[in-house]
Amino acid sequence: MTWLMDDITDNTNRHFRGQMADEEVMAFSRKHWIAIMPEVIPFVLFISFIVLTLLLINKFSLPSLNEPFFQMLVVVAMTGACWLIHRFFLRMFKYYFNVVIITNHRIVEIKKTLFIRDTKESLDMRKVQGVDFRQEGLMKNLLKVGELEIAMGNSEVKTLSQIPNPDFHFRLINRLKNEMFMRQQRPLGLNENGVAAGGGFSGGRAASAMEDGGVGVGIGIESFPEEKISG
Amino acid sequence: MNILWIITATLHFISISFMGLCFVRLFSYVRRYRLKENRHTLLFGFVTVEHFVTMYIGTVILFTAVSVILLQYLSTR
Repeated sequence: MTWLMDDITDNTNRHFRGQMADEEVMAFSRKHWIAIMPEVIPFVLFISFIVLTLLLINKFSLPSLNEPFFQMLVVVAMTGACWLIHRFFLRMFKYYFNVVIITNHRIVEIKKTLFIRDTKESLDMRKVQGVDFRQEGLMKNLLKVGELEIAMGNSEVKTLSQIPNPDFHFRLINRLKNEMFMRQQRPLGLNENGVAAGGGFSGGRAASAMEDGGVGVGIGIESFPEEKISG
Repeated sequence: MNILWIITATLHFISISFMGLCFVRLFSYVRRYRLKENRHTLLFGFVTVEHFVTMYIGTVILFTAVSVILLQYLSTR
């Protein structure tokens, strides 16, 4: 019996907060690096400007530090530089926090910053009606970046933008969706090969479904616990 | 002149304290999200969040040192 118990791994909160016991992380992704270029390029220019200014400071004819206006200018420059440095690194940490996690049960999108924002959105794989991926334009095709549009059952479309290698994620979500569909369609009491488990309909999953108050006949009884992700 | 130094010292104290607070929040996140990184998930295939932590510490310390040296230079000119 011990060997059987070892096979059942409890994945609760294993890779991320809110992960369910029978949930496996299939893949996760951050945004493409192109998404942070609007932050990185100005910061590099700003650092270059500061380095150049410090190197050429002898060439400038600066007023005396005793002048109140120049003192104020120095304070404003230092405060501004300090603010820009912290802002840049907070944006970089935000890049690492924002992830899309694809598990065998759902797609979890985490949008988080260090202080202000903490949003998590979970898309049930059973409710996914279809997935589209868009990779239009020369740059997007060269850099392999695109958008994934996930159509949900209630005619709602969830768009995941600037996803790297969207083709891989498109195929993965489709495969997981099909696997979920096949599991739901499988008649009760039959294993993956269609062979009756535990004495046909009276045993196995059908029996447990009956014990749980389920219908016991038909399809689509298999379920997993709905759980909200807590921060 | 003294006021300028007091403002500078306050600014750097706030700056370094804020960085410390950021690290507290950051490492609590890292403890909660133990996702297995690989070259497909990391920035440019190799840049981890620890690299940015190191860069952050280095930049803030360098900024503090440079601004103090600059003020010293400007006041003794």
